[in-house]
Order: sequence, then C-alpha cells, then structure tokens
Amino acid sequence: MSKEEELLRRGLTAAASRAAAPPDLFDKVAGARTRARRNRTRLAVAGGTLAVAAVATVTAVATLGGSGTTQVTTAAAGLTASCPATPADPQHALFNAWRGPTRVDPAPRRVLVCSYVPHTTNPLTWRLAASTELTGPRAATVAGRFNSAPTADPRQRCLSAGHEELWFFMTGTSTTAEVRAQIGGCGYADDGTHAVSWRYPDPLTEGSAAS
Amino acid sequence: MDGPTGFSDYVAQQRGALVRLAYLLAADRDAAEDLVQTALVRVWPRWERVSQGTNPHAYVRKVLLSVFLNARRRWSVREVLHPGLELEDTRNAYGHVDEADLMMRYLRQLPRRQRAVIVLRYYADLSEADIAEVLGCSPGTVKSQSAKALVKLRALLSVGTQLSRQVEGGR
Repeated sequence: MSKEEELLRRGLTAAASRAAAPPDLFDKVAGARTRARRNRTRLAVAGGTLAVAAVATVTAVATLGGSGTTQVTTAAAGLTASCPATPADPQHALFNAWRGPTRVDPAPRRVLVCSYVPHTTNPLTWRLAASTELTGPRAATVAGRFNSAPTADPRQRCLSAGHEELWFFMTGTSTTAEVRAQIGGCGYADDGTHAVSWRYPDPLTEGSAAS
Repeated sequence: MDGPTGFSDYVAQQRGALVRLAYLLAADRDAAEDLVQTALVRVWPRWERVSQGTNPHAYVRKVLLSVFLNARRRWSVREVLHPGLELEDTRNAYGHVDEADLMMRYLRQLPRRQRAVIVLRYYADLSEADIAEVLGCSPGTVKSQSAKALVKLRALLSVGTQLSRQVEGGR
C-alpha cells in the first residue's frame, strides 16, 4: 500500500468515526442550522384505543421518574391518557406502520400532544420533553389537518427530525386515535414511494395562532 | 410494529456501519441518517428474500449507494467550503479532529460518483470489481473515476498545505 493510500484510509476512518459522535460535539451550529431549515412533518398512524371513561375537568400532571418510567399524564375524572416515556420502541428501524383509522373525529374534545426530543447523549433515542393539551379550535385544527393528509405505508422514521410527537385524540368518553408525528423532520425527495411528507406545521404553533 | 424476521437484528448490528459509510458519502451526519433510513425503508419490504441471499449487507450497501447516487437534489444542495478557509480554526490540539475535518472538506469537493468510488475503495475496502458491481458500471470506469478523484484530492491537499504554510509564515 502506498503512503498516499495509507493516508487516505486513515483520513477516511477518522472522518467516518465522526458519524457516531454526539451532534453537539462537533456540529452544534451546523446541526441547528440544518434543523432550522427543515419544516416537514411525518405522520404515522397507529390504531389505538387507550382508555374509555368519562371526561370532566382536566388537569395535567407531570411525573418524572427513573429511566423508562418518565410520564406526563393528563387526567380527567375516570380517564387517563398518558404520554409514554418514548414515542415508540427504539429498536424499531421504521417509525411505524399504518394500522389504525385513517380519519379521526373532526371535532375531538381534546388532543393530548406528547413532545419528544432526541437524547443529547444518544441521538438515536427520544425522551419525553413536554405535554400539551389542545382543546376547542386548536384540537379541531389538528384533527382537520390530519384528516386531510394522505396516508402511505410504511412511514419511515427520520432520526434527525427536530422532535417527535404523539397525538392522542380524545372524543367523548374515549381516546379514539393515536398519531405519531415528526416535526421538523429530515427531508429527501428521491423516492416517490417513501418520500411522502405531510407538511403539517407544528400543531402547537398552529394552535397558538388559531386561538 | 412487527417487521420481517431478522430485520431488527440486522439493523441493530449494522446500522452504525451503514451510518459511517453514509456519512462519508453524504458528508453530513443528518443526511447520512436520512440516507441509511431511506435505504432501510427500501429494503424492508424485501427483507425476507434479501436475508436469504448470500450477503444481505452487500445488498443493503448497494441500495444505499443507489439512493445516494440517484438523489438528484437533496445531497447536492450542501454547503461547500473552500478547503483552506478555516485552516486557522482547525489548528488546535485536536489533531484527529483536524484530519477528519479536512478529509470531509476534500470529499465534499469530489463529484458524487468519484466520492463513492474513493469511499468504497479506501474505506469499505472493496475491490475495483466489487465497486463496479455496486455502482453498476465497468471496472475500467471505476479505475478512471478513482484516478480522477485521486488527482483532485492531491491538488486539494497541495492547496491546503500551501495555505497552511502561508498561515504559519504570516505569524
């Protein structure tokens, strides 16, 4: 092997090792800039009835536990819809597959939005950061946007998305649908089959503007 | 979500290697993750068949290369920095970081296909015949692409060295 080839191999190996480094170690600024440019949302629908109960006054309770037990719970009289500690099993290579209703109630009583951000030490996993409840027109806005979007399967998970969200639609006495969303996701457009992006604005931002 | 048998295990074992390869190709960590994820999404529906083949990883790598080479816009709209522009910033105690940083800058200067040839040859350690098979071209084309890439890399290295000397001389 020539010295030139050896240098090349060494340089490439050194460069490749940076792929595994935490984003904020080398590319903090560049990464933030890249994410700021992104404005895409990917959605996947997972069918799910979480709970059935009566809805009365609603309170939000944050409970921070140990690893894997962090939960933010929205509790109503007899109804509890919880934000899981992670949006999905991190072992899953694909974000999710559609296996639920394609349409939700256009006027849900409430929508619980669980927001996740990448772990700083392990960007391949997500941690619960916040939960927000939407009601009235804000909830209807989210439902309307979801209902007007196309569906495709499988939905891919984009690991460099800004954050992920779970939306729990609650109507009447039950949680009727669970939607997995990626806000500010990575975009690419080379494949007509899989590059489907539902360009949702962040429902929280949108909701704030609407209310 | 239940995936095809063995797919999750494969991803758990090989994802890191795929991301490193994709990082050299795309010269951007986020883009590398996208690239790998796109390749995995494409392979996923065919995994039952792919996993029965002789070398599933080679197949996935080929898909990854195909995604990279066929992406017309996304991967080309990237920041392109002059190789010597930030020499002063990289002159610090972190020599290995400098080396990696310079390598990525130089790689970004190469056309996509030449970059793929260099990465496959000198990082993935594939033979010219294997590279030709992955890229769907003749070994002769691989040879010529490699030669052109090396010429360009030498030139970039030369410019970088000269600028570095100028910076040092100016102090």
